[in-house]
Amino acid sequence: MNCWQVLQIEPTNNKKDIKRAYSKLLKVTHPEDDPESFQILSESYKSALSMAEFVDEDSIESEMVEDEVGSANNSEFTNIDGSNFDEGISDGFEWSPQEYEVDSQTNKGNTNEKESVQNTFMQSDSEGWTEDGSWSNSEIIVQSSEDVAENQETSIYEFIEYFLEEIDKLCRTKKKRNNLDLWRELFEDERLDDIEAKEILRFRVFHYFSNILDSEFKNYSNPPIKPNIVKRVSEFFGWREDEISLTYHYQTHQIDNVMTYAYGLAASPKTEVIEERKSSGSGGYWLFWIIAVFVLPKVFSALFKDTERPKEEPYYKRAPLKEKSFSSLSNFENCQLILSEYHELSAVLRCIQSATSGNVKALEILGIKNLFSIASDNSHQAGIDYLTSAAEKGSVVAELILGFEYQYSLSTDKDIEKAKYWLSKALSQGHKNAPMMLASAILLNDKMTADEVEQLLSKEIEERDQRAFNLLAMANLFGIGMNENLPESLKWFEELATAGDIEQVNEVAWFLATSDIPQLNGSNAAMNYADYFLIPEPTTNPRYVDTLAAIYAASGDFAKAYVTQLNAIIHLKQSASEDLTNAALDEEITDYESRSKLYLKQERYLQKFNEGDARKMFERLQYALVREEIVKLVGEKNAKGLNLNIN
Amino acid sequence: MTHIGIDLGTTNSLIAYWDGEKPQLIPNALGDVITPSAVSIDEDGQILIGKTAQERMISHPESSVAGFKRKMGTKSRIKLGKKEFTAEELSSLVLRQLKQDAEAFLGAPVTEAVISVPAYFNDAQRRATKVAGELAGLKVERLINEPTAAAVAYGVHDREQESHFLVVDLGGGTFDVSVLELFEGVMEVHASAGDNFLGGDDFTNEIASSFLRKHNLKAKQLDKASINQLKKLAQKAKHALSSNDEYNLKITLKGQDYELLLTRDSLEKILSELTGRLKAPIERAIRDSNIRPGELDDVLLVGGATRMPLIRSLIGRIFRRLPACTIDPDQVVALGAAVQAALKSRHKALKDIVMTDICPYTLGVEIAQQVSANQHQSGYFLPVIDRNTTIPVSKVQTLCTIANNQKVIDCSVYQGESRLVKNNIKLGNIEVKVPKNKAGEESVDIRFTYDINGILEVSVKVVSTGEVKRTIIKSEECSLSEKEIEESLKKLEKLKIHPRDQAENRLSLAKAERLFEESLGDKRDYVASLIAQFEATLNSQDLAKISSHKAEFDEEISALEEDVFA
Repeated sequence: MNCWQVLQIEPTNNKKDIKRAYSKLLKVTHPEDDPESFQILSESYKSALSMAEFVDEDSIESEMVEDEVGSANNSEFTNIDGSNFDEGISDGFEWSPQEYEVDSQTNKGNTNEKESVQNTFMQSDSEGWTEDGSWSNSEIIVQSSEDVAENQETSIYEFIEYFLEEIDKLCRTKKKRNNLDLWRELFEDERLDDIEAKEILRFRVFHYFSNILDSEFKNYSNPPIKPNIVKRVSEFFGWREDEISLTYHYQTHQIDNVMTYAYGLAASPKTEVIEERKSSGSGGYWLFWIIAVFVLPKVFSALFKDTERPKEEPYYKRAPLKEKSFSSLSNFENCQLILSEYHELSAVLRCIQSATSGNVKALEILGIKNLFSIASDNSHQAGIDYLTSAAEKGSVVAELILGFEYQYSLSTDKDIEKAKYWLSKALSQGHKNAPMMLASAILLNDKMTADEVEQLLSKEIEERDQRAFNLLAMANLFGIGMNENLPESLKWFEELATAGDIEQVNEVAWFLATSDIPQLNGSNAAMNYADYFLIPEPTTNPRYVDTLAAIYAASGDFAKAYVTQLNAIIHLKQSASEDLTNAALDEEITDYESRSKLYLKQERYLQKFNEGDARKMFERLQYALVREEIVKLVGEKNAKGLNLNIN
Repeated sequence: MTHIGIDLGTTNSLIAYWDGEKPQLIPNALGDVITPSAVSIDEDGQILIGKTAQERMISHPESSVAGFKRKMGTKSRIKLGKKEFTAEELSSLVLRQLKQDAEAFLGAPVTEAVISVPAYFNDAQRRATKVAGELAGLKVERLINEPTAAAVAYGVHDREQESHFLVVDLGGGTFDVSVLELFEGVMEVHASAGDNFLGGDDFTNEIASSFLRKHNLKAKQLDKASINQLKKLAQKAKHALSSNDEYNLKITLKGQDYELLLTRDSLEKILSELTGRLKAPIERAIRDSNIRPGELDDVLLVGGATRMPLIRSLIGRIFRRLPACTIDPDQVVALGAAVQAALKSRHKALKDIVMTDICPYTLGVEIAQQVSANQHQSGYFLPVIDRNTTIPVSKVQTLCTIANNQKVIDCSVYQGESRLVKNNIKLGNIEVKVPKNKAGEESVDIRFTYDINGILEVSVKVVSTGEVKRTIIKSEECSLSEKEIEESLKKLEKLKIHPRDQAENRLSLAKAERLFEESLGDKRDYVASLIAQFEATLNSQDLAKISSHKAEFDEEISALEEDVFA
């Protein structure tokens, strides 16, 4: 039974309905009389409340339509609200891993993101944040005017930034960083009494310290900041008193780093070597053998086995926020809350909660966040884990991203077999981008026959997909992942050229005429395209004429090339007034003239292009395909901040 | 049967009952609804409880105790005259007094009660409270968390609203914070946090020790009576500063006069460290409940110490709002406990209300984590029941062996919020034998069951053999065994409790004795003669005479008390 069935209601985002259903059942399933049924009811109630944030009733229909339509080249996003939402609900109840980590390390965001955070602060309906004057005032001042609230909320945000800067200043200044009095003074700021400000700072300052205690931060190391200072900060923010809350956001080693630094080795766990124990533990000394329980990383146990085990409660038991602060994940604004540098903690936690109860969309978003956005490699594993669970729940997006990630991972878990595995899965689910992703992956990292590639890409070929033609042409040309085959390659180039308009022809022709690829030498491959520019009548577009000249040069007819190039210059000057500024025009003319001089010297104009460049093209193709998926999921604006660079 | 709720506090205790429509407090023999949690033993070996015992803290410091709630769940012995008691035993004496008061008031035997405990009380402390009830002849049908009780009292008060609220409960010795939600007849606790060793008494003690510091005095140089007197004055100063801007603390110690002018500002400075400690639990409760401070509909103040303006302004700054306290902060917990007693038996007026509470601590076991092929790090804490899980609850974790041919798995049970067990509190352990096998091949299911009273049962099942071992966790240093409980009962039965009908006279006498301690010279002699006269009248056993003399005696003593510092 899923949580909605337990509550005897239809999935809804109306929390009042959920509460009403819970209340009604609670009177029958009383905690005193039937603790077991009560536990199921209570857990279902909490699952339902957290899922409610992802239920977007209005968009379920339009989403289904969108899924079927999904066109290949249209990266512009229209509506994906609540994608995979159905799976999220039906799977959610049976599955929930015990632990996930979210890395809240941040990258440099842009101003837009900052504004959005301010907006979220302003949204919160707090009353009575007082004007600056009252910071220092110990009397209680309560205001409830809404327009005041706006300024007030901004000042929380400003205060947080101010405070972080102050901490940074202290840490950067040699003479100040170890002066306990200065730190004490800093913490005496009455604005820190505000619970909201302090809560945000609790995590951000921890983050800051986990960074500066990293050996990479040389600026702070002479003299190094003293442990007792870090300890003081830890005491102020109660890091140690509630370490478990830190483990929700930081990796064990990060926490170990800071805590060991502040409290000495006493704060670190003890290491035991099992082999040693074995020697002393044989015979009757079984006492040495005790303790000895170990848990596989819990995430993996949850991922790879026991789907039948009774449902465990999500690791995070947090009461839901009101709709106002976080309504549904499908909303891009909310993605922003999670994905931006100033990501809102509560939104992230909500998302984690949903993820732990198996919501696919939440898993996808967290996976993306951890994998690409914020921080390079230390949240990497969490990202993989999230996506793996999403993929196992049938998320094609997750499968594609995983396929991508296993190929390009900067860390050690680069694994082509896994990449192929996930991409094949996406393929078997019929995702439109899967064939190209898989073909690129295999060609780049493995081998397959030309027939196999064509087979794999048969649909794309049929649909005259330019990216597929490009892939085939390049692979045949350089023998990437297959045998080198020039005629075959040229055939695909021609397909590529004719799959589009004259512009497309121009690009292919220009490439063939000017690339310094030895395989193309003497092939006269470009010559085929000359007619496109001459028939039915010679083109006057300077760029096409430029290409034509290059084609003649490639075929060895430099005289013709020279004359054609002069023509090109004339056409360029004529067409110029319309769309080129003077400076750009001059540059273009210089460029054209440089070629004419080359032809005069009986030399070709050549551009460097080798197998490496071709491979990069494949990589960029994969990148674009993956990015397309991510944009669909989180919106263009949010994808922008993601550090997706494959290099 | 009457539904009884008891607030067994560090400084004061109260008892209330459900009258069919609402909770009502029951007055004691002196007509007060508040009974100080103090116990004293007099020269004849008679036990005195409440106000009288409190007065005797100064006149007879060696044979009077208070504040023993802080020792609940430990085996420490508290000296009272020549006898020694555990905190459970002393608490049971207070409970027995309350029980008698209720029986006298209701005219019916009282055998069951709901007793409140600080939300942040741990397992051992909860058990100790149950034992105290049993020792007093009360079946403890339910332990209710104090902030929850307070919220229940408020919730029933105006039950129409759907709201979130935060309860800040600063009692005499403990501090609790809970975040609750009330909707559709459901009272749901979202999160609790607290500090078991922070309360109004600490504030009083801090004022007293700051007084000593100012005058370069050491507590060690003073006798117990002087210290108790100074504490009493410090408390008086604390109370006075709630309504006045300044207070002059004057005392004569070892024949010398000392004084210190306290203002609200200087008080704030003196107490800044303690008030600072209030913040962390509040922050944690808010963090755990995941409710924005702005979403709270009310912040409720409970416990006498929240009367301090200092505390109110701190709460105001933290939440940017004025806290509410429409019910007397001293009484609200007892009232809520009585409501809970009625709720528990589904009293018809409360049929539609269900309350759910949570477990305030994370409970788990020690585990080792693999760091490389043959290396394990032990000392990690694996949560089994996360803090703020709705109770009752039962959870399982499966653990496996880490060494080949491992014979025993030791499940050490801990409570706390640190990733490392050494920073958490060990509750006990269970060892189970497992068949020889390869590392990782043998496993156990560890099940934690946390019942509605907040008491934990742990069972360990060896997966391969199906063998089950279960235990109610008992840590070595706390919790009385069955036999010990029986012995305690016998010991307590032998005690002579001062008869209830003479409570008022006894109090008058105790007050006078305290005044005797506090006075010097002629005044002291005069008080002594008054006491002697009154004692003579008491011995005459002539009720009419006693009654008229008492009125006279009280009047005279309080007149003298007024100018004690003159």
